[in-house]
Amino acid sequence: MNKILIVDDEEKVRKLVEITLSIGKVEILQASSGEEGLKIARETRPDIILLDVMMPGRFDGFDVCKLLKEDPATRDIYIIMLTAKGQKADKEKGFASGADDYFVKPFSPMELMEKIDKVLS
Amino acid sequence: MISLKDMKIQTKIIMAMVLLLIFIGLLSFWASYMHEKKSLLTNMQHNAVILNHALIISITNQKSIAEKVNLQTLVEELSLTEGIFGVWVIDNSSRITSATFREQAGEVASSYLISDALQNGYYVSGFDTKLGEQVYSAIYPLKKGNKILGAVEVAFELREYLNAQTSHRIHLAAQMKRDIRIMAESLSSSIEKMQYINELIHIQRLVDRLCAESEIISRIMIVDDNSRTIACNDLSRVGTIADDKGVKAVINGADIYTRLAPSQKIYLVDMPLRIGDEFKGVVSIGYDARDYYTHLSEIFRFGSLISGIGVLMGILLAFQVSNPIIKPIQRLTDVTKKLARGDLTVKASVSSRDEIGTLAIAFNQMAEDLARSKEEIYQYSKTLEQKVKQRTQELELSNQELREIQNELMEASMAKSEFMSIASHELRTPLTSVLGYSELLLTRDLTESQKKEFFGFINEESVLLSKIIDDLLDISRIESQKAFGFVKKPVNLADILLKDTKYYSRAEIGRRIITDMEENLPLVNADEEKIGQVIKNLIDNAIKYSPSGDIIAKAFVKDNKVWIAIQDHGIGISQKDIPHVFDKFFRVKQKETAHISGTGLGLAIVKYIVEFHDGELDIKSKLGEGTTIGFGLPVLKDRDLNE
Repeated sequence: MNKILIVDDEEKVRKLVEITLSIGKVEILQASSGEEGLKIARETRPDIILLDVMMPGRFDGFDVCKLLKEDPATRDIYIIMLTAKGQKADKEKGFASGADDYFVKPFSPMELMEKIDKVLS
Repeated sequence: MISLKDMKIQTKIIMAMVLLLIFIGLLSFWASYMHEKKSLLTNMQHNAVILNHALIISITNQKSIAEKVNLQTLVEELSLTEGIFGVWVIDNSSRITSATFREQAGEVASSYLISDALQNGYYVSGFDTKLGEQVYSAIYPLKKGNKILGAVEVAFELREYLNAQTSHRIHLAAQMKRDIRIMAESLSSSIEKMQYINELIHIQRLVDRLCAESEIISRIMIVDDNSRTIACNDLSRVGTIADDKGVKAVINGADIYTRLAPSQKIYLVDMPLRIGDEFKGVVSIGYDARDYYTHLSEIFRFGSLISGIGVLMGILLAFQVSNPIIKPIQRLTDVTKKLARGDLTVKASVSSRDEIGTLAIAFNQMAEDLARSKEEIYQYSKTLEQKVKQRTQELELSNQELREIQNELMEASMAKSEFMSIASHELRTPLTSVLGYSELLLTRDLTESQKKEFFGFINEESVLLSKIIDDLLDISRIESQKAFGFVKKPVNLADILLKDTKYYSRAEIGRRIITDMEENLPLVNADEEKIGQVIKNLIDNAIKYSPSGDIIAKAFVKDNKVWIAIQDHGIGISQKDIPHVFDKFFRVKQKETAHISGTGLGLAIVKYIVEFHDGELDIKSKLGEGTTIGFGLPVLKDRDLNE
């Protein structure tokens, strides 16, 4: 069973992702801050992390992504940045921090599902 | 007004006219002088010619002149005879008429032998000295009837006689006596045979007498056809060759020749002497011309005097005429030169009221104007310099201002693009829920409770979106600073505060809002709705940036203003950020605030509204301890209220 971690401070967004992916055979993990997300990712080693950028706390999405990609233990986790920051500079910053993909809010749940299916297959 | 150029021309014309007048005066003087001279000369000539004619007629009538020539020839031929020292013909007044030595003609013979012979009328001979030579002289009287006309003298050389021996001398003397007597006799007889011998030997006398008797005749000269002077009042001339112009001209065929001899002051008239049609010689008469010269010089002197006076008067007149014109112009020219050299203090003297005077006045005016202009230009250049300096400073200042404005603009632009980024995030987050849940509702088979929940999410997020859009519109209005739609009226701020706090339920915000208000607060002139928004924004901020703790809302009077202050016990604001909290688009960048959504416009809107009410803002904050933000509006006076 594949594990997918969703890190976002907005509960509504986390729930949306959870319901979207509930029809597939995946395990959904949730975190509401960067620190929490980092902790869960290291403990559970998910296959995919859906990572928000702007979050309260010590680490934002870019920090989390960078830290995970620097760590050989978590380096192989497929990280999809999920952000409302849709500007070109933000995307570049995301890829620079090691993100594998980039999804801009608002997103279509169907498209996200297709993307995840593709990554997992 | 006559121009300077015209004046110069006028002066020149006057000078030219004066010179012309002088010239005409001199010319007329000369003409009259010449005319006078000519008339004098003509008059004299006329007189002289008449006299000459009379004289010539008188001489010619004596018809002796031809014989005179023959007599001289005779004497000279005789002189050639060997042994003869010389031959002389003497008239009865002992004057030599003809002689071997021509130059002796006219001289008075001083020999006692001659006077003896002439007195007694008989033959005389004896030893004598002639020209330093010892001679033997024989004198034979010339007689016509009983009248002694003159004498003939023949002189023998004595050299041979003196060289001879005494015995021989007697012989020689006898022979000489005989010979000489024969010779003298024959000569005298030949002369006596000459027809007009009487007149001939008297020509010199006639000449002398004419000269002595006439006051106007200075000279009479009779010349033969060989230019030899036969008779002349000046005895030294008799026998000499006359070679003056008049004599030559007449010999060459002229009928009359007249001329002035200024050196001798005589007027000479030369005319031919004819006997019948035969040319015999020339009569030259010199008339006294002293009167003529005197007269002429008098005329000349008088004329000169008149002309001199005329010229002097002309020159004086010219100066008189030109001075008043030239002098002032000259002075003016000098002054102008000084002016041209840069001396602006010069003044032209104004001596007249004419055009020159006007010119001088105009010149002075011009010089004054020039000096004033120079001063003005100097002053102006100084002012200009100052102005340039001032402007440069101003420009530097405005450049500085511009740079500041530019910086502000750049900061504003950056703040704005950051705002756009934030606004985008704020809009996208609720939109994600709206879009995502609506898609789930459309594509999934959901339970009723799920459907209800999802519609609830969509509704909530749509309300948030609406609020954000309102905020953005407010900002847009403030940005363009267009009419905000203020409606001011006297209000009690405490009432507004109380009304606002009612919006916040304790359950919703998780804490209390404690109001601390002074009683009987004075009224202020304010827009109720806008001030309400200010208080709400402040409370929202207090809630947003303080996770817990009560929020205190105060109302009080201080410094003639009514104050509202909202105090929280939140994260606080750093000292470096405090000056910027009221700036548009400014948001404190801290980890603690990153999750707090906002537009950065809440306090900017507060500032704008308070300032519009002539109010004052106050902020006190410390990191970790909390923030107090308040505003004061001026107390409304009774007077204002009455109005």
